Amino acid sequence: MTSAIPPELVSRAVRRDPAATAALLTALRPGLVRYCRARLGPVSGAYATADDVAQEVCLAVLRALPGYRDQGLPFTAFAYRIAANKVADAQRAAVRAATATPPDALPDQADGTPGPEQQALSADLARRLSALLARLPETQRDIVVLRVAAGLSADEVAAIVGMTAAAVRVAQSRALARLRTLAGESLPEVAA
Amino acid sequence: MSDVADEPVDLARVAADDVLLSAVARGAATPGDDDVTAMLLAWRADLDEGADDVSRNATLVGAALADGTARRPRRRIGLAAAVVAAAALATGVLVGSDHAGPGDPLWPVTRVVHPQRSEVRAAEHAISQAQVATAGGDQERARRLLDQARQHIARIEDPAVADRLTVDVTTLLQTLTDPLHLPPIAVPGLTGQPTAGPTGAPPPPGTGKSSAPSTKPSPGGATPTGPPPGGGLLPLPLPTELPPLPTLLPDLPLPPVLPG
Repeated sequence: MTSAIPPELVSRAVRRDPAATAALLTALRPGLVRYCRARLGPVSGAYATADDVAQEVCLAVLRALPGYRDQGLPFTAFAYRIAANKVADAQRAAVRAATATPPDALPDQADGTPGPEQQALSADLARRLSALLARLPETQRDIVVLRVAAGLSADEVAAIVGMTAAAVRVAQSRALARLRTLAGESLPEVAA
Repeated sequence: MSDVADEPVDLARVAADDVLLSAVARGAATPGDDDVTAMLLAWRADLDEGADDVSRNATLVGAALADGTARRPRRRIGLAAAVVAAAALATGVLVGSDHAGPGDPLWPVTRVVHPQRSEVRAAEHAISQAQVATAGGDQERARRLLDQARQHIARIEDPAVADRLTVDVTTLLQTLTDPLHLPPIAVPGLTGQPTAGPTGAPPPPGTGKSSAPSTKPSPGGATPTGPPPGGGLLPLPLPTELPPLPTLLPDLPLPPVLPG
């Protein structure tokens, strides 16, 4: 889990301190990249699209900083609400663009290029988890993505999804239970 | 598939799952027998693949620093420091900033990114500067520096560190108010006469100081309210040679003795 962003860093960045702004973006960016990658998935085996969206999120956060006012919520609540909106925009655009081709029900299959067995196994596990996540209720999926991909604490996730931290912990626990149930039910993939 | 929403909340499981998810997020979980944990770890690791894009980070940092609205930052960190900060941050690593002390070009970044460490470092810096000032007879400057040190100490959250630094400040202040006051420990060379330095080599009479450069003919110092020059000051050496000060509290918290 990433350590929380110090409020003093945020307030200095809001006051247009350039070094603080740069430090804030550097701290935020990795989690935002993983969040966009987790929500949007790879396209043709690569995360270029998701990374573009993450970059847009970072720039949007940067532009919105001077107007940010501390209302007692973690700064990540602000940043990840922007991220959720950008991801939703990208998903709508993808749907519009995909009218001619059938949308992939599952994330991309890896290329047929042979790699080390460990790598193939890991990619296979990652794909399977993505497929299982897609079958969770939306709130549980959001919470897992925020906790595990973005690396936010239960308190930060609570501020983003509008629940108490305790409710987030219960929901994530139920999500894990459901993932285990689904994993047990799904047929094992046939090795390519 | 059972409806999980109807199941009673198992608090132990909720706590364990919370720990597990945090560990997976850090990449620190061990899969064990749990397929789902293994899948979560693989999924999380996959999100890191090729994610450390130096050029994109540099673009953002450049945007942050070149923002036309950032005309006059409240803290005038200076163009050079900003450029150094940009170069350091663009690589995704705050190179050296966690070691920077006051006077280093990355100090402004350290102050922002490592606030606690920088408060400790600033307090220590002020104290050592105060020691130099005291040795040079500049009581006024020494008191100012000790005041600054106390302001930094007030912002330090670790009580053990704050106490240690407070003792340093208090001891120095005692020296300023009572130059003949010596720490109640046996130090070789210390005979009770103020001109005998703790290092055992009494400075020649008429200089009264060991380290501070000064062109003043009066060897003991400049402040008229200070002690008589030449003989009244305890010539404090630089901090590395300082005799061990009495500590009121141990430097480190004692480990708790656990029962059974």
